[in-house]
Amino acid sequence: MGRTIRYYFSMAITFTRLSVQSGLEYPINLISWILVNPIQFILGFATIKFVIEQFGSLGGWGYESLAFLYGLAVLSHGFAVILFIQTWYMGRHIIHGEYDTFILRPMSVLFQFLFQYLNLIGISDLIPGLIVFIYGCMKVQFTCSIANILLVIITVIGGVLIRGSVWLFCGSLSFWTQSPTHFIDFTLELFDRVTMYPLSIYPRAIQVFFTFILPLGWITFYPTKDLLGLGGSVIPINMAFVTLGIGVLMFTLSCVFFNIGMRRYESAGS
Amino acid sequence: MKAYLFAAKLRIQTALAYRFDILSTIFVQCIVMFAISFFWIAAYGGDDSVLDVSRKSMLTYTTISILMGNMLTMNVQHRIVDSVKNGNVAVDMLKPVSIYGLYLAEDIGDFVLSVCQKVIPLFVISTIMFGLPKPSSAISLILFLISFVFAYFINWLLAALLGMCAFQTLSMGAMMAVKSYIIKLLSGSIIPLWFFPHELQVVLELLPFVSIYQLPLGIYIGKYTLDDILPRMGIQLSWVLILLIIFNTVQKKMADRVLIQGG
Repeated sequence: MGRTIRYYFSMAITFTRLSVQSGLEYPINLISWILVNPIQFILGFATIKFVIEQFGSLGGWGYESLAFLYGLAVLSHGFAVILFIQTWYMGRHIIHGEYDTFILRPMSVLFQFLFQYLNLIGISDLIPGLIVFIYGCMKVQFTCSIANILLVIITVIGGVLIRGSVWLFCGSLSFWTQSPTHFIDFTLELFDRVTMYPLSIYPRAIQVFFTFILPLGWITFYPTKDLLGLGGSVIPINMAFVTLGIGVLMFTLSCVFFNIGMRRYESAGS
Repeated sequence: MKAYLFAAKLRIQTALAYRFDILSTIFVQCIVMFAISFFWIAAYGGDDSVLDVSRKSMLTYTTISILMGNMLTMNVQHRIVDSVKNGNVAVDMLKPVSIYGLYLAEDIGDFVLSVCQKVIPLFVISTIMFGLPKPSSAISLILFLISFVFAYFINWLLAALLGMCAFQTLSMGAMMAVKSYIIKLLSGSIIPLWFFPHELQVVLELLPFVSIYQLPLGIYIGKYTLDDILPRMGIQLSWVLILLIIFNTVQKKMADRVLIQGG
């Protein structure tokens, strides 16, 4: 058991090193994305700020708390893109039979698939996320105690797992549909709309849907409410832990779903 | 002319083959439309009117903006980049038609298609959800249509100019992303510029992006008075002409470059 874990761990490090090296192979491409990508988030946040300054608040949230929420959303988006971008193209992998290489190796297919590629361009989302988040922290006078920092980290981990599991689930559908259709535009838009704005601006039914059925509200909305003490918490434990719990649960389910789908995998048939 | 009509028709037939894509686009567009509408409803809160724009007008603005967005998707930039990359541009230039005329015809084919497949369904859905997005008067509808035609050409020329950069540099992904962010956020397509700080407004109103979304939309909801509309449409028309001149100059230079490369 110990040997297996060590083996998997060393492989994870090797995969990571390889993808960092291949990412750095085209530095111009990487740098141009790092310069360009922040524009959308910074401009996006600036426009929200202008509107809130005009109206005073959005669903009871001032723009300081919105900055915190927005920053947290972009942060977890950035990490999710770095770690899980390969799930965006699963349909194509499945149709072209690209899992053949993984099957031949004496190792979990899912593990190889998740670790084979680390997308450095995702860093370009992390930078604006950090900027807006730190700005938000200063504006709401967030106390930077160790406990609070840990809570933020737990929230981000949970949020990244929730996002990743949605992608992995959608990608795994291709095992059944055998079509390269990907749901990325759809999920990205959904994530943005639910995580960057307070869930409370939507009608009741939509709030319930994103709390219990497709729990995207936990990625940023509920933990932020708790962290900033915006009240209304019905359960005694901190929402950050709930986010982590939901993330782990959803991710486990998605992994199971992937493995069931993998049994139907029939290569490219050539 | 027949050749251009054929190019447009071919485009429509190709796109018809991808029915699932259309359904998923409509779905995504619905999410965006709902989300922005609820954003405005929440922002307006108890107020009925902010900066002389009523809540109802703002919802109309949002719906029409989404519909316009679906009509203003330009393929020309990718088309140029792809044909430069794989060398098809030489073949396209050999055809006895203007290549840019051909690309424009293809985009107009896409336009017709997206009106039938996306705009009409989205219009019906938004009417059910938020009520009919009525123009403020018959005159504003007519002026909106004229202004929209200009907007289409500004957007097309900007896309074509960006695409032509591909003759110089082959890696275009990042630049295209910048263009789409800028048009999305600085044209008033989501958030009208009248909410922006005054100084920024003055600067942005001089750029061509406002003419793509905010001007037609503002005319539609009756934000501008008639005296106000004419000078603004004058600026819009001058942008069409300026871009057309730039486009012509650049296009001639680029054609020479291709000949040199091909030699």
